[in-house]
Amino acid sequence: MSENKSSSNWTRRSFIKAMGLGGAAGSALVLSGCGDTDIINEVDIEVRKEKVEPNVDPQDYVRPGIEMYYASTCRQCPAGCGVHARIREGRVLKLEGNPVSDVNHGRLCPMGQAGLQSHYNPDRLTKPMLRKGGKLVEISWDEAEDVLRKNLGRKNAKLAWLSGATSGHHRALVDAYLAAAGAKNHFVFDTLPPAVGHAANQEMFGSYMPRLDFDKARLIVSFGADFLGTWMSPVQFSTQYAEFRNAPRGTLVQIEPKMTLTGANADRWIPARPGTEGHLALALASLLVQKSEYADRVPADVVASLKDVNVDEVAKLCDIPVERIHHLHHLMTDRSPSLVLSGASAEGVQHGFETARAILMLNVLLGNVGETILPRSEDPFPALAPRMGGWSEVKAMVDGLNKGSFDTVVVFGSNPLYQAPGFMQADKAFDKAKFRISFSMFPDETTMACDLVLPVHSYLEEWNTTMPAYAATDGYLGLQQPVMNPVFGSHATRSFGDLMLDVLKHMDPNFKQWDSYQAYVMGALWTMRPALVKQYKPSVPGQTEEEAFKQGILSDGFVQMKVAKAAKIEAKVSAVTLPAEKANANYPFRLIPSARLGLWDGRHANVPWLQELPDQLTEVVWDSWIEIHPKTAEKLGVITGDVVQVESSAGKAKVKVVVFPGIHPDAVAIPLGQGHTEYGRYAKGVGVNPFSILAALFDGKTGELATYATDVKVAKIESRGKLVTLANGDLVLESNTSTQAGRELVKTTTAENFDLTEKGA
Amino acid sequence: MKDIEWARINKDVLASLESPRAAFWIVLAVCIALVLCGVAAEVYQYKHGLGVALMDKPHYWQLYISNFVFWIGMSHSGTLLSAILLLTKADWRKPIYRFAEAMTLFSILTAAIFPVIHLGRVWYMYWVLPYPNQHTIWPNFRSPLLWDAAAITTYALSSILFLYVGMIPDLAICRDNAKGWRKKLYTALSVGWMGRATEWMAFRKTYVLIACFLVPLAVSVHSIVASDFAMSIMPDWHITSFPPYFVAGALYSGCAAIITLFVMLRYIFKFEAYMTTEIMDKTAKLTFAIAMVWNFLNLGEYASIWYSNDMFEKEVLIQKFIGPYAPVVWGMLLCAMVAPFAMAFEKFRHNMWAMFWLSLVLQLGMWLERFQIVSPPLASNHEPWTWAVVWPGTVQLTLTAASFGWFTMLFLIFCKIFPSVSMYEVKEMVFHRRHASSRDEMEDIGKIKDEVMRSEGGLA
Amino acid sequence: MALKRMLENWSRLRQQDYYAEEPYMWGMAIDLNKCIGCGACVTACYAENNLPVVGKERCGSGHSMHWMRIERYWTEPEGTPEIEQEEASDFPERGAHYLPMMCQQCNHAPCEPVCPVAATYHSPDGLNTQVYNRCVGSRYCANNCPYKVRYFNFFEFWKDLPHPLEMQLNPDLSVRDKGVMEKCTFCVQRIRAAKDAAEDAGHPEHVEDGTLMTACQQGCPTQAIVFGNLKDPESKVKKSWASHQVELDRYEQDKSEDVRGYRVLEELNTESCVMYLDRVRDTEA
Repeated sequence: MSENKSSSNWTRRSFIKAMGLGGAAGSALVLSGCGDTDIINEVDIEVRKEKVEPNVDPQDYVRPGIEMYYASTCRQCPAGCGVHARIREGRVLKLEGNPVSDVNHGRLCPMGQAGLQSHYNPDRLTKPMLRKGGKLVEISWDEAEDVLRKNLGRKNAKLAWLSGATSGHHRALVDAYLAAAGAKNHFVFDTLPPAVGHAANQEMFGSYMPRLDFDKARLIVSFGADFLGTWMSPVQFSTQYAEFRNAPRGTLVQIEPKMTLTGANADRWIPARPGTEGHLALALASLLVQKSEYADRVPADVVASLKDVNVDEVAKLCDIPVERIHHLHHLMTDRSPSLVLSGASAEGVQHGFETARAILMLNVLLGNVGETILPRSEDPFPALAPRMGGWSEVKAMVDGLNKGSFDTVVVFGSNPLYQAPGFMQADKAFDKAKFRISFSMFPDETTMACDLVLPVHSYLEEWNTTMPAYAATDGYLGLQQPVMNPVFGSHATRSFGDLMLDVLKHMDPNFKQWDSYQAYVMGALWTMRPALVKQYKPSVPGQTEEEAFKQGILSDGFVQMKVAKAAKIEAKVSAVTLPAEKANANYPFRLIPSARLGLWDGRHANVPWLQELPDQLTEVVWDSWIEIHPKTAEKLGVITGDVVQVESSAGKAKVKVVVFPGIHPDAVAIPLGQGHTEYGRYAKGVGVNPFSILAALFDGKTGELATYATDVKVAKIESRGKLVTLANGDLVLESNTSTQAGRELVKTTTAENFDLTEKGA
Repeated sequence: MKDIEWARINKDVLASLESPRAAFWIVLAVCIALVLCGVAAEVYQYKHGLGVALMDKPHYWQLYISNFVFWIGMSHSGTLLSAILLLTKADWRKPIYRFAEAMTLFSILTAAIFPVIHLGRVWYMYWVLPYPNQHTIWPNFRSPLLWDAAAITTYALSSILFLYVGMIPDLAICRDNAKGWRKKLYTALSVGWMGRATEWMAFRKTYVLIACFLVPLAVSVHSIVASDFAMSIMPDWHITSFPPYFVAGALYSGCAAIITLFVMLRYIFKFEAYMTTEIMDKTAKLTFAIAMVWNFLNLGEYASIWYSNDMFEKEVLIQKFIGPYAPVVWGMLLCAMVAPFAMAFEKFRHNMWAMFWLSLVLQLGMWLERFQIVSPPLASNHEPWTWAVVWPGTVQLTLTAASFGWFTMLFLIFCKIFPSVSMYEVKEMVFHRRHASSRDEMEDIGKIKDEVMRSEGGLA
Repeated sequence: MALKRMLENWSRLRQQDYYAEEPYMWGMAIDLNKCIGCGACVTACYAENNLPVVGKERCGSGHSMHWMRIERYWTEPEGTPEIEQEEASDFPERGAHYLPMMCQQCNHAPCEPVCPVAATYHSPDGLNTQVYNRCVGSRYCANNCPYKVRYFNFFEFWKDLPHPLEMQLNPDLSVRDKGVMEKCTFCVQRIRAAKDAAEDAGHPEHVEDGTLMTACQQGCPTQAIVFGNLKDPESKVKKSWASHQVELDRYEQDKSEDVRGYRVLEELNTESCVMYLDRVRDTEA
């Protein structure tokens, strides 16, 4: 973009801001003679099939029978793993991890692998729709764009924008639009990112997510953090976990009421009574501060506050043997450095923030801060930084809608009508808005309730940048490029970026310099290049620097920004007080809406591969179920396959029982993901949605929904029905002990022996 | 006791070709209906794939294979009665061997259907046979299924031959009494039998030769069927004693089937004079003896599994008795192991209808035995993760029912077209009985033979 | 003619160690210390090998087609007293036992001799191959497989694939028709491509270790799966087999008790090409 293209009031600073490059590093950028931003240029590159090539102009590279890989970024969850898409004859066939990505090191989780089936999903929306006379009617794109411009292309302070977890240039573009429209309300709502934990981290360590060094830890004590399954960046943590398990082998202790995938891999899984994790953490802290070596690490008032903790009473409260607490204490003191994590089941209670602080305090006591908990440097471009959002934001939006503060709602990447708890009555609040717009790939619950539905490209069809929710290295920005032409053609679906850029162009002529969202993103990256670690020099004669740069970054699939050296991490610890737990006689069980790697929070329920991927713990496929401990099941008189009614103060649900040993007898768990009323043929009408019966309980400090705090009662209503597992194992399920029947199928050895024999390996 | 009138033999037997009781037509109609249901089920399965039969992992084999073993087993008694009793010169076999042989043939034909409908790709069934082809690919000679294909083919051909050759003199009798299309048919089939002495000589030699060939063949056929299981490494299939166990089981269920048909034919075709209580008594005794052999082998199998202490096999054995398939196993023990003891009582043996129902119970027991050979070991195999129970679905059950219809239909049609009681051999038997008292006085055996030949030839 | 060919090659075919000179023997090592049971391998296999999704009803009747599966057990095998729960507990306090199970590519494969049409046979590089075109669907092989890793096309699954999901199908291998048995191939299409590439690169006898990955191995977040050539002394998998003292052609390993390598159901003498490494638990925790 040369200077003469810019309008007079378009300052360099606002220009940088528009690209999402504002902030400290952005202002230091040097803009020198920019060339043409149109990067659809004819670069003739000799390809070998092993090489990674940018998808500059796919037509040139389609060679029958020759496979090629394009680098891009996975958007199946906020982790933002780098992917290599395998292309043959212009079709993407497989997604692999990007080996040079610092997020996932060439690995990919089931959801990432299954991104293909979101992309090729038969239930994708292919026509824009407009509500006419109460019904959604298919319209042409021209009409749809008119309606979109009419509704969004003006100043409107009563506009509410709802995104899923967002980052990179989508976030920058939305923020730029909202600024232009004079709207302040950008709500971000995602169900699984640990908002409470982030807040606690922010308060204690000055960063919502300090860097964690799993490998260095000799002991990990995790209070419900399912870092192998659903906690922020599962693939990244899994690769770190693999290192952690090498000789000398680290030990993992998992404390949680319902066994997660991480719990299933723990050396010791401790089923604490739900909601008591904080007390357990305080008990451990009280044992630690008895030695001055630990006590000295925290202020005296904190030590004083721990004096009253009675370990025996805590053991009774948590329903774990008191020896176990002492044993854990010894383990913590023996094995240093260690790492203590807090996760969903600990944080999802009414005093979740305090619980998280109590747990994180153990890190301070054990001297892990600076060892396994490392500081993060400031994001060079805060406008691109990930925004994870939380329940408080969707609540704010629903409240605003109920009060009539908003007349227009735009939803992109979120599905509040499915994910928001039933008591919020998001659907009724939604009805109060005059005009609702959804940018969506699928006919999900929210989209079907909107007035204007705009089918958008999948993440494999569009340009974008994404900043991972958590990256071991700071300043990592994942790049997305279309790995193939749109499946249904560009007449069917549009890129979200293009649509919004078009709206913006009508509001702010400064955006007219970018023909497309692609130009916008690539222009931003080109502008950003002095701030990058790696420099890209032309390697082929005649190649311009810009071509070389674009080819280089697209081959890598991400850019690494220069970051200032992180300041030393300072822990701020203050005393934690937790209210006593009180039992609810009417509702004797605690409901755990457990998430799993696969269906996640329900967004992947329309992916057949993931529906058929068995739950890692119960092996059930294509269904919802409730996990009940054998003891509780005996008391309730139910066996696996029986249908029970689960009733909370907010609602009830009918669901099949799985008698499951990995859960505390006071808890019952219903997995998230099913119970869609829309969302295509694979998801609609399958199972139940536990979100719908969550009680209206919130964390006192952060205002986040206390997802693990709902109490329920359970009553049998029907006898045994068929429950489908991949094992096809009625026998397996009946006892749900799945023994190895005397065979040596999975042999186990001790860590001691492992360390002894594997040293050389 | 007054013996059968000489002249009545032809009349009675030939009458069976003409005027059976109404029951014949009723049973035939039911059978045809069953076969039609089976055809419909097979077409449905062919169109949609074997999944509709509700077999699954790990039950890759189920009723089709059970039925196959059951029908193959049933075929054995025909050979036994006919060939072995012929060679051992047991006279009482004579009125009943013909239909026993027919039963052999038709049960083989029924059995042969099952491996075919069992195949995932029926249309490539012929690949199992070793025939020269341009792919220059042979079938796998190590596979027991290939041996099966060979054994069944051989056995079916031999049985047809045995049945047909033994029928030639009777066909000649029919030819001489028939009119219309029957005349043509019998003329062609009786290959110009005139009843000359040379013909009789050749006939006797051939018949005995085929019988000598058939006896070891029958034993080998069921041993091969047993190797389908015994040659695998599945727990409770991989059992050394399976071949004799299968042969004994085959004879057992075959004898039971003979009793059933014995009573049925006796009633339908009014063969009371030929199929007497004495013959039933002897058949029942034989069945009882075989049942005891089978019992012994069965218990021996359990004992050898138990004392081998092999984890996998013991697991299956325990699962058989207390697992989900326990009703089948206990049902088998009750029907096939305990029930035959009723035949220890003479009064029981002499009651035709009691024997009829008992024979059905024995057959049910033996059918359950085949089911419990196939299914429970698959249900608790080496890999506990795949353990599962599945009961056969509608398609499998329909085809099973159809197989009974198919067998009975073929059998009834046979009886309506061909003499189901051997006329010449019954005459022989009557002749022997008549001369039994004066046999000592007979110095010249040849004289008797001549007389017999003359009388038969003359009649023919 | 076939007979002529057989007679001509008889002596050669009967020769012991017929495949000794073959440069490849594909093998695998799976570290249960690292496997977390997440299922990435399962989905990767679906994507790579055109596995059909069969739906709830058919999953329920046991018709699912997962070449790679994760078995989950709760208890120890008998005879490992040091790991067993110290006290009887109501909970699986030592976590779950995950076992990724796929075709073990046995060298003494029980499935091979029983196939009446020789649709499954042993390739010179140690793969237990399944020739879909030749299969008649007798299912004997699946019965005789002790690992129960053979999957039968009970229906014409590919017909149920709605547009545009079929665009994802991998053109390097076929979709399977009804009535055909199928199973894990160690991603034979990738092996073939790697061999071709090695030949193009001028070293036909040597596929460089690490250039060839199976789909499950490639996706595995913890790198629990190692795949490679057991005849290459420098390969990672061979080194792992050697250091864990597992030898291919034995049914009883002459090895130290402490070393972790073992093969599942080895006592059946299947000579499988997949070695597992013991799961590890810290008994002090």
